[in-house]
Amino acid sequence: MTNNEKDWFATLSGEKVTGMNPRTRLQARLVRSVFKKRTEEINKNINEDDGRLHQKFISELVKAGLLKKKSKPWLKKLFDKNNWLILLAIGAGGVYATKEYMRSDVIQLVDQPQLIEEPVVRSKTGFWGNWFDAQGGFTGFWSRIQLEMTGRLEEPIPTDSTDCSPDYLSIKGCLALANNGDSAAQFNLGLMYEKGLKVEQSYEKAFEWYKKSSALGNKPASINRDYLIDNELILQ
Amino acid sequence: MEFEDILKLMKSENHVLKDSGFNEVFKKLEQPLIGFYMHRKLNKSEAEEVVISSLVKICAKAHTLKDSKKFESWCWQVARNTLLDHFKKYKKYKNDVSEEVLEKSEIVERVSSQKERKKEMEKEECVTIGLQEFGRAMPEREFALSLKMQNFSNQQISLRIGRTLAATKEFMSQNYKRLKPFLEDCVGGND
Repeated sequence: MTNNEKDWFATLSGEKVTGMNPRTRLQARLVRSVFKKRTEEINKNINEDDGRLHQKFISELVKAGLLKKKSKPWLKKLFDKNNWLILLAIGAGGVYATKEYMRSDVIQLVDQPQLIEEPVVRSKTGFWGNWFDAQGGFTGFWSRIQLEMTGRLEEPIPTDSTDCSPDYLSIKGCLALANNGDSAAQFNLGLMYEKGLKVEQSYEKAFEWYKKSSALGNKPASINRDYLIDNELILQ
Repeated sequence: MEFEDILKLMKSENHVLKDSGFNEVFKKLEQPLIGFYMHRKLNKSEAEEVVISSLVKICAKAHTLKDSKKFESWCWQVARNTLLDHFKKYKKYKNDVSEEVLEKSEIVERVSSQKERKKEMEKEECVTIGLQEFGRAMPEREFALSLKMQNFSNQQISLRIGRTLAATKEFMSQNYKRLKPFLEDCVGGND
């Protein structure tokens, strides 16, 4: 390599060379400037990549069997493909259940005597109790999760009698069942006394009924009983 | 992370280490490879496609490499071969024009015919046109010169163009001579 060439390459690399041919220096500087612009242009293109190429690389590695496919997060998986149908069904069940258990603290006046109907007898435990209400309405898992979400249940629960149910509560209907050892009716009585539904409000009486019901294994009753104690609504 | 360390990760039996080796080789080579392919006249999407193809080949075959010191030059070899495959696939392959061909070719005529126009141009514009023609005729040489401009050593250039150090020095020296006719009259001659 001649000295002239060495100087040319040194100038191309950005070095300052003294005593070289001015025309050679100018040419090398111009070449450097043009290359620099082109390289900057290319680098700008490269830097615009936002990780898309890396994603493509990973998926090609998976295709080639060099990398194991990572499982998708469960939420993403849930919304994949046709799972939205299942979600829709669960959602509809939830909405329906909410409607069925719409709380009302207003006493409903009944002008005409209640028709005596054969009570619908259904097991309150097991599959039926977990998924349906006393009238056979589908509630999904709403009735179960409500307890865990709110900490306590503030709505009547279904019993074997239509006179002591979420749709219609009467002191007579609930007492008849409660005295026969029905824990759901005992819970409803506790709730009636706690809220003053169709009876004079009495935390003491509410506490007694919750206590009886919880002794028979009724979980909402024991939560509501503890609630009365914790909030000092009843003196122990 | 050095190439030797990356190769160790890629050869590991542990899949977590292996995955991280794949990611490291991607980080290390993504940008230089795109630059390389774009200098070799591929557009961005073509360059990306060839980059992915090269990197997957590197990941798939890395375990066969015995000498970890040669990993970097091996990666560039794979990259060049992938580029050749791409050219063959799309029938775009052209060798650098030889000096003999160049003297007779229309390229010089085309450059000469532009002499009059060049005189009227700004000097930089004249060099830009000359380099464009040079790049079309000899893309590999143009790429090597652009690396030199970025202050790459002859050793680093030799890895990328796949020649020995001595051959690279000779190649660079020849580059200067080959470029000369393309830049004649831009600054009124060199010597």
